[in-house]
Amino acid sequence: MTSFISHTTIDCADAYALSEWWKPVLGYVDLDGDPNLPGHEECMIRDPETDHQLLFIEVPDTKAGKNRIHFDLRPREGTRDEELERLLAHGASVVEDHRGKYGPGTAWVVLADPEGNEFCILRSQAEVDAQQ
Amino acid sequence: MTSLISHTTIDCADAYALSEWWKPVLGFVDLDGDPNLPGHEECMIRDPETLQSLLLVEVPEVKTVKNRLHLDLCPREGTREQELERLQAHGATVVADERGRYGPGTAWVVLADPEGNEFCLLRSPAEVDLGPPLSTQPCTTSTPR
Repeated sequence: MTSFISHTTIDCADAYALSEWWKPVLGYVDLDGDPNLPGHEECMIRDPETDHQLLFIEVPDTKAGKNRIHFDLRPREGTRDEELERLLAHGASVVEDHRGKYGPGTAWVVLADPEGNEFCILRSQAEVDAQQ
Repeated sequence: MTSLISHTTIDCADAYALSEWWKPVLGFVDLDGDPNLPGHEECMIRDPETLQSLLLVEVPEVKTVKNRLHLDLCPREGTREQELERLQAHGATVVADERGRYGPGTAWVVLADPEGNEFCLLRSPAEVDLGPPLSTQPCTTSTPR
């Protein structure tokens, strides 16, 4: 007997705004028949193919310090640097740039979403495979 | 162009111990050909079927506040009560018991792993089908307002 991860919950100040921000980052969508709307204190979004789900929930407490849990992203298409450019244009901010840490082209960039939640953008699987 | 979530990283004090703790919770395994060993500062585990992955990474800083991200678990088989009993026997501690919050049998229990990382145990899909829909019962580790 084991459990499966139903979803990952992200505490936030504005659930609707943050869920809308993450949707185009990941290509996620609202649940069928249960659209998120401004003012909703809980907003679930999901991967339309795998059904992986994220739940944004408004909480009274503010973010204090670096999160101890974060997502590591890989571009589905294109390169890390192209995706970085897209994410920055979308409003992500750079927390730490580790590119080149393990040699030319390696490693990742630590970014933050509009509420300061850290996440990493890694190389695409094609980039990783090409280097090996 | 979008990104996929390659894995979820959890900062911790003992990556090997915590990865070993989570493996039987979720039925996750080490990566093929890359077993985790005591002393490893980074330990990846994954669901052998979906390949959903968790990476435990050792960091110098200690946990000071409630995590702003947490995992919500559902039993693959059996009930929430049975799984709660199993997880407690495995070393999980109860942070907040919200069972019954939306009526008899509803809601969840907030638990913590051995390093204090909060996670929620929800009802199994079968239990949810017999009760109020899950969408009316969001899980939060915060104190209800």
